[in-house]
This record gives sequence, C-alpha cells and structure tokens, in this order.
Amino acid sequence: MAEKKIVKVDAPKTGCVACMPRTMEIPLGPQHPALKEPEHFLLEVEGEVIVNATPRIGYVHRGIEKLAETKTYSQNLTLVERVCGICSHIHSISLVNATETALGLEGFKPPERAEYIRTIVSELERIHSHILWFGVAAHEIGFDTLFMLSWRDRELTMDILEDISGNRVNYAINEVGGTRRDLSEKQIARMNKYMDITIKRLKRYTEICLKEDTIRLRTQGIGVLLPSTAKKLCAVGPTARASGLKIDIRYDDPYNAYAGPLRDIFNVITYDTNDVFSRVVVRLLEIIEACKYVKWLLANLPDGPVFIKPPRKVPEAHVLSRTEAPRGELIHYLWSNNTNKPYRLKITTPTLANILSVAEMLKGDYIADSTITLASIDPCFSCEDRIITIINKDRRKAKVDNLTMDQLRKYSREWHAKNKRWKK
Amino acid sequence: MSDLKREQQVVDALKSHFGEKLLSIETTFPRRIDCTVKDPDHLEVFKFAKEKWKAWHLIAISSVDTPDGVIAAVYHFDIVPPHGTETAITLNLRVDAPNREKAEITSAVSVIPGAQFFERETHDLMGIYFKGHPQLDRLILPDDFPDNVHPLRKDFLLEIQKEEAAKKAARAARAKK
Repeated sequence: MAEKKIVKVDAPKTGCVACMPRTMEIPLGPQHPALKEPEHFLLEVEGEVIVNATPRIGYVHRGIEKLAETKTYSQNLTLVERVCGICSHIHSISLVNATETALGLEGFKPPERAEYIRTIVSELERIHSHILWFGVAAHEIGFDTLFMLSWRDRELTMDILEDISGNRVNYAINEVGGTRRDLSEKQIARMNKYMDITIKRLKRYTEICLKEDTIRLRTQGIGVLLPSTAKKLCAVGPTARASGLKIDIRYDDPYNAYAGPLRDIFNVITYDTNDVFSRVVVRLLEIIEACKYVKWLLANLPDGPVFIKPPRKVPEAHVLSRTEAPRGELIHYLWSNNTNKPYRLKITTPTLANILSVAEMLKGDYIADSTITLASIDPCFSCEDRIITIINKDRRKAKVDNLTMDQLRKYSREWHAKNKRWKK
Repeated sequence: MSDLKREQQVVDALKSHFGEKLLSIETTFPRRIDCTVKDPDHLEVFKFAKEKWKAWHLIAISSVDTPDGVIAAVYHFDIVPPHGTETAITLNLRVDAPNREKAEITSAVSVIPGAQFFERETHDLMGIYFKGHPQLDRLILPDDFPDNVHPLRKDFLLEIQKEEAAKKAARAARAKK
C-alpha cells in the first residue's frame, strides 16, 4: 500500500536531481532577527554557505530631502535631527556647518565656545551609540549578560545628555549661529565624574573581549572584508578602520573643535584582522578615546558667548559638509540661493556607503553567522531611507485615519471575514 | 591652511593635464574644489586621480535639478586622500545631463565599483540614467511606484508646495483687486 502511494506522489513534476538548481534563495527580512529596522537581503545559499547576497532597502522612507526644500534653515535643523534616532545630533551639526560655511562668505563666524559644546555632544553621542551597538552585538552572539551590563553603563552617558540638553534622543542643542544651551560648572563636574566611570568600565570590557573565548570564537574569521575590497567598495567609518584603512573625517577633514589643538592629541583607531572581531575592538577602543576627548574638551572649554545672531538669508553657495557620524562618514551637500530656504539639500549616510561591503562580507559565510555580520557594520536604515510619497491610489484608500484601536480590530475582523483563505 | 596653496596645486595639475576639457574649476572653501566637465570626461578625471594621488574614495553622488532646468550629477571624490598628518582634498565634480527627458550620464562603476548604490539611488530619485551600470533597478522607492516620476525633480510638487503656490496665487489676485 505504502509503496503505491509513494509512486503516485513522485510524478515527474519536480524533475530529476541533476536538473535541480544548485543554489537556493532565502529571503532575510524585511522583518528579521538581526535588526530592529526593516531591510531585505536575498541570500543565495549552497547548503549552509552563502554564495551571494542582494540587498534591497527603502522600507523607511519619509521624504526628508524633498521636505527640506520647503522649510527654513532653522526649521530644517529640527527636521534633519529626525533622520535618525541614534545619531541625531551629527545630522544637525552637518547642516549647521554647511549653513555657517555659506554664511562665512559674508564674514559670519560662530562663537568658539559653541563649537566646543557641539563637539562634546557629538562625542557623547558616539559613546552612547557605540555602547548600544556593543550591546546589540553581544545579544546577537547570545551573550546576553554583556548586553545587559553594557546597556547599564550606557545610561550614564544618556543621563549626561539629558542633563545638558533636556532630551534623551533628539538633543536640539544646535542653532544656526551657536548652541541653545550653555554648560554650567556643576554639569562639567558631573560629566568628568561619569566619563571616568565609563572609561574604567570600557577598559574592563575591552579586556574581556580580547581574552574571552565566547566572543572570540563567535566573531573571529567571519564577515571578512579585506582592505583592498574595502577600498574598492568605498567603505567608511569603523567598518573601514577595522579593515586597516586609516580614515576618519575628524582627522582628515577637521570641523568644529577637531580643527583646533585637539587635532594634536587625536588618535585614529585601526585594527587589522578585518573580521567582525576587529570591528568590535575598533568600536570599544573608540569609546575610550571619545571619553578622553570629552574630558580634554571640558578642560579646555573657552569662555565667551554661545550664540551670535546670524543673518536670515544665506548667500548663494554650493557647500559640501563632511562629518564623522558614529557609523562613518556623513555628508550634507547644500545649494543655497540667497533666500532663507535651501534650494537643494542632499544627505548621504554611512550605511548606504557600507551596504555593498556587507553584501561582500556575507559571501562565503554560514547562514547562522549572517545576523552578526549584518549587525557588524552597525546599520541604520532610517538614516539611509529618507523619501517616500504615497501615490498609489489603492494604498491611499487603505489608509486608516483617526481610527481607535477597537475600530481597527473590528475592521481587521471584518476584512478577514470577507477575504477568507487570504494569502499573500 | 586657509591660503589654499595645496588646493591651487591640485587645480594646476588638473588644468595642465585636461586643458579645455574642464568647463570650469574654482576653489571657494578650504579643502574643496568645484569643477564641471562634460559627460564621459569624469571617468578620465577619476583615472588620472587614481594614478597621480592614489585616490580611491568616492564619498557620494548628489543630484541637482538646477535653477536653469538642467539635471546634474555631482560626484564627491577625495581627489587627494589623507596622508600622514595632511588633510584630504575633496573634488565636487559636476556632470550635466544633455536634456531633461532623456538624462543620460556614463556610469562610473567601471572605474569605481563602490559607486553602484549611489548611482542607483540617484537614478531612482532624480531620474538620471547611468549608461553601462550593471544593475540599474529600483533601490529606494517602492516597486509599484509609477515610472518616469522622480520625486526630487523640481516639477514634482509636494502637497505642501501645492498649497503654498495656491496661497501665493490667491494673494496676488487679491493684490490686483
């Protein structure tokens, strides 16, 4: 009986084994285990090994570049801070630098104390962003204790940021012509104290990472990106530095306080094992360096005003503003046209530059390692995707406005009753 | 730093090598050079910089719908990479497309493989067709987005911009009365 059944099922529909394709395609995402943000990777696998990876992005587009053309410079600062939730401050620094460079054609110069405060906040942001990534990476490899501990230490930096700006996420400390808030003696003392604790803790974590087998076995030798490939694919930030390329915009194209005497003590961190482990070490060492810069900046904070009123109209210029975000190089390219609104603002974020490198890193790895490899560039897809306008009419119809949760539930029940056996 | 000496050296080197192929070249800000070339010449500039200064880093590609109605791509390129304690010098290389309807520019992927995604993004949002690109698909906009509609062009108006234009027209009409 059983034999007969098998014969029936085995019709030549599937073809013989020799005709079957050697590779299989596995879609990873848009919702997937590695990240909290949506993006899609089509992995081509041969057995357990990935042969090819095709990325597809654009799931969190919001239309910021186009919208920026309709707002004034001051309003745009609020807008560009919303590009990303983690590295929000660096976007506003970029735009403010671009605007002030253009204003510099008319002789405008922001006060020095403001530039120092901006730099302090951007370094604090780097510290909290890198510790956040470190926690996520520890979670990815199944080391949840380290995840909890590192996030506990991140709270110190978050507390400082809340103390000096009033917010935990979008600090809104920049303004064209200076900063909105000044630092008090009490705040400076607290920051110094907290930075000392952070340095101590981070040194301990670096020690753990360099010696602990749990981390080393799980991260060494995977997600390899050779320096020559990194150069070819134009990798940036910690991803490039972990492949031994000595590039850092803070040193190569200094802005704000980095252009001053801080440049003499600046240290570009590189590591040369080219794998995920290398990226972990580079980020950890960078946090310690960032803590030192914050302490140096606080010790050398110049006196003076923090805000000078700028002219309302920005003279015509084409300005390229380069900054080093926690994830790599960020650029804002501004075309001003002698009005109070930008003619064109182009934002390019580090993840877009690094996404080709990830596709390269994934090749030759096991599927099980794909999550940590993906997470190793610290991708930020909200940064990357900025534009969407709903044009599809059907979609507009489906838009649910002003519905309460109960109404929405009712709607979904009705819809599923109508469309029985619905499959995507 | 501010005497623009190093920048001037780079400008001189480019001028002597390319001559009249450079439509315009100037340095307004420190560490920045703005330059305009015709369509396939930008590849020559990249090759020249690669040989002479060992440049490798393409920072980004911007696209602008200029006030004159020209669609232009701007390649931001580290023409002199950082070396030791010296800073980098960036070249903003502008390439104009011949016309709006069929905006075509030669792709730089053959010289710089890292340009792939930047060009796809530009193609998606500004509608510049890069000739010789290996895979010029949608990258950012949804798959069901209508073809030949490019949101970053100036003739694509947001709801906000339409409202503003209507308000302006109403104000002008009232002023006439």
